[in-house]
Amino acid sequence: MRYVDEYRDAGKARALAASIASLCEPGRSYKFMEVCGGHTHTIYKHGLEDYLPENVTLVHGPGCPVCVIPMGRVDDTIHIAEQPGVIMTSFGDMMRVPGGRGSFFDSKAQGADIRMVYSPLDALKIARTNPDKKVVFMAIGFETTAPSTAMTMLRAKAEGLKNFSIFCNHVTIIPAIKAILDSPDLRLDGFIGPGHVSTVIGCRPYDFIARTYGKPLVVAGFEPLDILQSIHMLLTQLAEGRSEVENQYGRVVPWDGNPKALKVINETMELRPYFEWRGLGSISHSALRVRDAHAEFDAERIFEIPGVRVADPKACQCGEVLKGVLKPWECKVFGTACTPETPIGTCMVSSEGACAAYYNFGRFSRERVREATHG
Amino acid sequence: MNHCEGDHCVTCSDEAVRVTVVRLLGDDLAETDVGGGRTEEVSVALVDVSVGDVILVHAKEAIGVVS
Repeated sequence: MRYVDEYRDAGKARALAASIASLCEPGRSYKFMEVCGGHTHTIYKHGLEDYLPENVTLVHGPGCPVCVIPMGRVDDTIHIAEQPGVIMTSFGDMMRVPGGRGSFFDSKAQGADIRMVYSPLDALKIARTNPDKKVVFMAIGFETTAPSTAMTMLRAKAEGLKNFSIFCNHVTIIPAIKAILDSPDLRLDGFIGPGHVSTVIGCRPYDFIARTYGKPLVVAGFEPLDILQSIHMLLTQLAEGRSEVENQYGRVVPWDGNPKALKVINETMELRPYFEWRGLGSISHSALRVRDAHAEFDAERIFEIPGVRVADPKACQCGEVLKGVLKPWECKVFGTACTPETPIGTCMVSSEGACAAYYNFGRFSRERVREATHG
Repeated sequence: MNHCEGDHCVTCSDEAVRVTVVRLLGDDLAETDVGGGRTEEVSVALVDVSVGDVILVHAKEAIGVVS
């Protein structure tokens, strides 16, 4: 398949792995964070950690949008869904995310009209065919999905739809990376930068990571060879004493991003003063809300939102996993009380969540390593 | 329950879907080949595309063109 097979060649992967090993200084350890959940998924699915020397560790970052939604926002969504005449729409992965009062599925079972959609455009179609209902789209995601939400609002405005609104939970990636860099828990040597967020925002917003924090960042694609090559590029920078922003994913990511997408986001949404992230706490200017000019599509102004902060379950250590402080299997409830079928924490829900990715693909190889080590 | 198709998640995952433009439909929409003989209508309002281009789609909105 074009754009796929050539990036999964095992021979090339082995050659890259050998080259990666040769770049590592003996006795030095390297810790790189892959910011994006899509990368985490690829790393576990293709067993990429097995290709790396023992002194190169990959740490999973906060770039799974489902994982960083705090429980309070799940409860707020359910509250809106329970109002008379409301049809709530949401991406599929959100349906199972546990809130303080259960998940969307639980609420649906109790009578709320919550429907899974593949895009906000699908929610718009539901609004057109149900003029007597108030249709709300629960919008989540980084800069990759914000353009879709923005365009949908503009389309709704052009059509003069009066029964459609957005419950905006979009977050932005740069403040989350900065929060991680400022966290005293973690010492990182570099970043594997998010590929498709960068399609929208470009590579320039990462400059401060290289300049102020002195860490290299390589924007990477999602195939196994993309990620191995990005690790190779990071190690090359470190070996040469450089810290720069580089773009491994040039076949997709323009250096300046997608100006049209940035324009529609900016036209319809603005930064919130602060927003709570699961595991990272409240981060200033890290999320988007609907602008005044589009208030008619803002569910937060149409409905009364409880906005109650709900503490995560005590057993759940998603926060530490999201910051890369803990590996998924180091969480006390991983794979026992918390599984993809009955998740306690968000990281076990989405296929991009570190815990779900590791549960689905990684745990067997780890068991093999353990057996080999302990006989 | 899993809402994923192939390697990507239907959610706002950072791993967008690659599809090929089959026909431009007007109103900034396009019919795309999503593989397996299936087609899907997506918005191409934010990219400059022609028939045959491979585009990256997130939540049915094209955000980039694969070169």
